[in-house]
Amino acid sequence: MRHLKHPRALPLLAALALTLPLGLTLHPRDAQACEDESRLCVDTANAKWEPDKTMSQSALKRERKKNKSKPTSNLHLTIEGGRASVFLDGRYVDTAPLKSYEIEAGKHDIQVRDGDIILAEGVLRIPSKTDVRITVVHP
Amino acid sequence: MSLAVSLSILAWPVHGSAASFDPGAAYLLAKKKKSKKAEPTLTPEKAESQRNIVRDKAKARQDAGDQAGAAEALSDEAHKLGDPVLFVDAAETYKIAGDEARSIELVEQGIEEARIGLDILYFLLGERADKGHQYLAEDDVSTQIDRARDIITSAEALIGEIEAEQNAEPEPEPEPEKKPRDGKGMIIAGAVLTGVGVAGLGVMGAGVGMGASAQGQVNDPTVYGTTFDEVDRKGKLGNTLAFVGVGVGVVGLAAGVTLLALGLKKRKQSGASAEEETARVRVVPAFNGQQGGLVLTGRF
Repeated sequence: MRHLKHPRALPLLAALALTLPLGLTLHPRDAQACEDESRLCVDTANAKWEPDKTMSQSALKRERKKNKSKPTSNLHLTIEGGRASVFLDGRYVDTAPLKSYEIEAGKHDIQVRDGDIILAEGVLRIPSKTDVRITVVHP
Repeated sequence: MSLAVSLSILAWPVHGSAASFDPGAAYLLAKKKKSKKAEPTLTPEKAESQRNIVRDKAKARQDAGDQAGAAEALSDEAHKLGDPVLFVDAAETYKIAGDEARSIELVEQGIEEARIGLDILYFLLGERADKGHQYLAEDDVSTQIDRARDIITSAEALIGEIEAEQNAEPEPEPEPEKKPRDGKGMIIAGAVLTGVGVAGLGVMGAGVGMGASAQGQVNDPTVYGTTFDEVDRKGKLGNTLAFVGVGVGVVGLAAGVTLLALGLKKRKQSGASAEEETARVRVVPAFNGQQGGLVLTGRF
């Protein structure tokens, strides 16, 4: 049978093994912090984010028509480090955070801003029947 | 002239029968349809009339003295309509409500409403805004931005003012004026001790009387045996009573009179009211048919 050279190392290793997962659980926010240049991170695999892209009003109308019969999805938006208002397809929606905001599937023009500071803007493609989670970072 | 004629012909199928088809008229129809599509869903005029309905409701609450309720009503409608001007209206009303109630919470709520208003106003200046949904004329956007900014500035100043008021040390309550000691306690104690002293003197008198009477009987040669012993015991008891009475009487009277004198002096110094000054301790002789004595009366 093989013995440890230093018997004291065993409890130390056990303590480390316990502390490591605990440390990871205590700081999930740091681990998942949004570091995208566009300051918007999409946490849902099927959703597509195209920063700085815009959609014309006619493109928006076409998109709306195309996805009208598709089942809707839910948008969850959280903001890190400040306040902001959310604008979708050219209109004010609400202030962040958004919780289960019902949204049609398809492409949407989105802008998140705080006063004259634009935090994030672009086009977000929402898959149907999905909970889409996005995080915006306030500078 | 030719143009007028052709127009009248072209216009005919629009109002007339569809059977008489004309390609020119069809073009006009298409144009008309197209232009209808491009019509804005919200014009500044329509937004203003919507806003006025909300403002009237809020005004009714304001007139009833419910500033916070008016602000809440404005804010609710602002959120429903997404109207930046209503957000700024709500901000202003919250600020007034907070000023009246000296509530930082209400003023802060006003600042947040103004910030949302600013978000929308700045958004309207950008390219992503729905141009068919106009809350206000483009020229008025900057005016509303200035208004919202002014409200935020003045609301922040108001918060500072309210905080200063709340943090200011409360004025120390004036200490209740100490009632000058009027010697009442001393007078009462003095009166009681004087009474005890007088009672002691009474006991002394009784003891002396008892002793004198026993002495007379002891000196009588016919008194002897058990009677003598009994008289002797009475005489001794009388002597004891006389001694105790002297002690109690002298000490009681000395202490009582001293306290009375001091108490009355203090009362005089404290400037007691005329009514109170009538407080007196009196020792008055009292007689009835069978006995006489001294009566101690006190009024405090």
